[in-house]
Amino acid sequence: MKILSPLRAASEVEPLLAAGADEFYCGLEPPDWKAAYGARWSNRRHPDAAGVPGVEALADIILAAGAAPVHVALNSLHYPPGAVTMLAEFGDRLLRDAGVSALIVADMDLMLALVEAGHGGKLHLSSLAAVNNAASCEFFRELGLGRVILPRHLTLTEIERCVVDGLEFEAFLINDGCVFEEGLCATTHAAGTFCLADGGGLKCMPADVLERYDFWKWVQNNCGCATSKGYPLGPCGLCAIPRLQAAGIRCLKVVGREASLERKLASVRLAAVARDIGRNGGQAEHIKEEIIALRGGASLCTDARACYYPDLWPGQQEVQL
Amino acid sequence: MDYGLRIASPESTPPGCQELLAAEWAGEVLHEACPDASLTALYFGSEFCQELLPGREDTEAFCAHCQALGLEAVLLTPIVTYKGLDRLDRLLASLTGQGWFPAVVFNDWGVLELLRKSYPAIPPRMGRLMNRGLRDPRLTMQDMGPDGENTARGAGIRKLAKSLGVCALESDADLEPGYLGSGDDGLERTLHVPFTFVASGRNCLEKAAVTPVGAGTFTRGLKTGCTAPCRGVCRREVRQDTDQPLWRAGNTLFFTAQQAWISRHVALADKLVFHQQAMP
Repeated sequence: MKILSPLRAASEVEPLLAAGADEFYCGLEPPDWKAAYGARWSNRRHPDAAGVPGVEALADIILAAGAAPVHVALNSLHYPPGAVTMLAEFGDRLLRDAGVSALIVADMDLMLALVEAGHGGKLHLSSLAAVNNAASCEFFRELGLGRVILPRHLTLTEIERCVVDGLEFEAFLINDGCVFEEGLCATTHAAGTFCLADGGGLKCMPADVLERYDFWKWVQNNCGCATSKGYPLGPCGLCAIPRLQAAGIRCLKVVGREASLERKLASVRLAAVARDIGRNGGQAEHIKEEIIALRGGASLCTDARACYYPDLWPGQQEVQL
Repeated sequence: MDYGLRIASPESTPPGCQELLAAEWAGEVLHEACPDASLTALYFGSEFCQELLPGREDTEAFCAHCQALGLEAVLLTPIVTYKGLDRLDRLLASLTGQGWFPAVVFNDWGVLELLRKSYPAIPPRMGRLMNRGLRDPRLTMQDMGPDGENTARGAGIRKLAKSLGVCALESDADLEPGYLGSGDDGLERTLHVPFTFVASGRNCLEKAAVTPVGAGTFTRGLKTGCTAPCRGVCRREVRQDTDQPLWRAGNTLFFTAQQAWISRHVALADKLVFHQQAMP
């Protein structure tokens, strides 16, 4: 299984590779984007806070990455007039000339334009496409796509039932939850994170439910902090690696394009430790022990509060959420 | 222009046109679109939650009700996991076995695959969740460009849908009208009013509200079943960052689209579907 790490600069490549990353992904705007579309985002994250600054910087990243694949996210769910044409041409150049291994796409019009240009096999379907079943995966396989990134809110059993031959599959591993199903959230983070204030003004809902909801949202938002050992304290699926591996998941996503290098490194280190235990036949409990020892934050694990895949622990006492 | 009604129970009696024209939730839109429009279809099912897919008996009753009224029966379906897809497969097998062939609104490519491969006699309609356009209630509607509405948006998905045998395209009033296209694709264009969805997901507050404290609703809710406590429930939600009237219905948040927004979409629609209240 490969660990897919976010990055923003060539200087991040070497330490992330040393920490255990196998593949990289990043966000990048076309050079003419701002002139045409102003402050609108082309890839779901703020270009200055989370993106690679330009094509030259991307070339440096690809050079530094060597044999490690670099994928570029062009994964907004919707685009303004003319943007699909611009992005399809840009994507075509990235794949043909710039050495980019694959594009991460969500918008169907953009995806179809790139398929028509002969790039289907180098397209990774974003989790924003909300592919939740095998028939849907087969649909995209027939369109010629190379990889499906499964959404966050699937159980391990549902993931196992999604996997079909002839496609690569990627699953979320660590950091940054979503309150809603991200593919069905029609808001934009460019106007602020909508879900964080969700529920507060809901009439006639019991206060204890809203309190539990607030706590859960806080965990999805990485508890707003790190552990005392400097590791991220948010949604995590590390213990599920053996199940994901057995299911046929090829790639494990570390989330956080906008994160500092320190946070990316800490996340990739955790992922690599868990992956290596899994590779050597270790199971979920072993991974859990090692990760808690390394990271801290035991209480979140004990109660499955931060689990991406809590159905891994069927026998555990239910939690106070 | 004709119109349909989203009903909550399988044998709901649809209001007449005059009654609808007087209704706060439909009258203004219907009057603007066409005051003598005809009711041609009833919509039933769920667009947002597989736990709310109706059972065999209710769906058969719905189809019989529509037949008795001389209306088209349209079954709404949501995004589904393998469980939802299996359930839908069994439902459609039963319906078609009894001679019922309602149109099916799909919001999941896997559901379209099921329809195409196993139920080719059922007319597929592409649902509003397939339009991933912006619907952020904190934002204002985008101005029209120099060429008017951007009917090029969605051209690729419409062409694909048409090639796969889809007969209609559905949407609600998003912030950038144009997804329904100019009508040249040969797809019937349907607009759901007045509620526009904002966000949906699998972690449901209504489900949480009936789950005992300690049962781990938000962490473990995905794997547990649901008794659908949201049926008939629609709660007002107020936020400081928007004046739009927000509604929570089951696992989904909606807002009431302003008349001016709806009007720009009506101009691109062949059919309206009225919802008396926001429903998942």
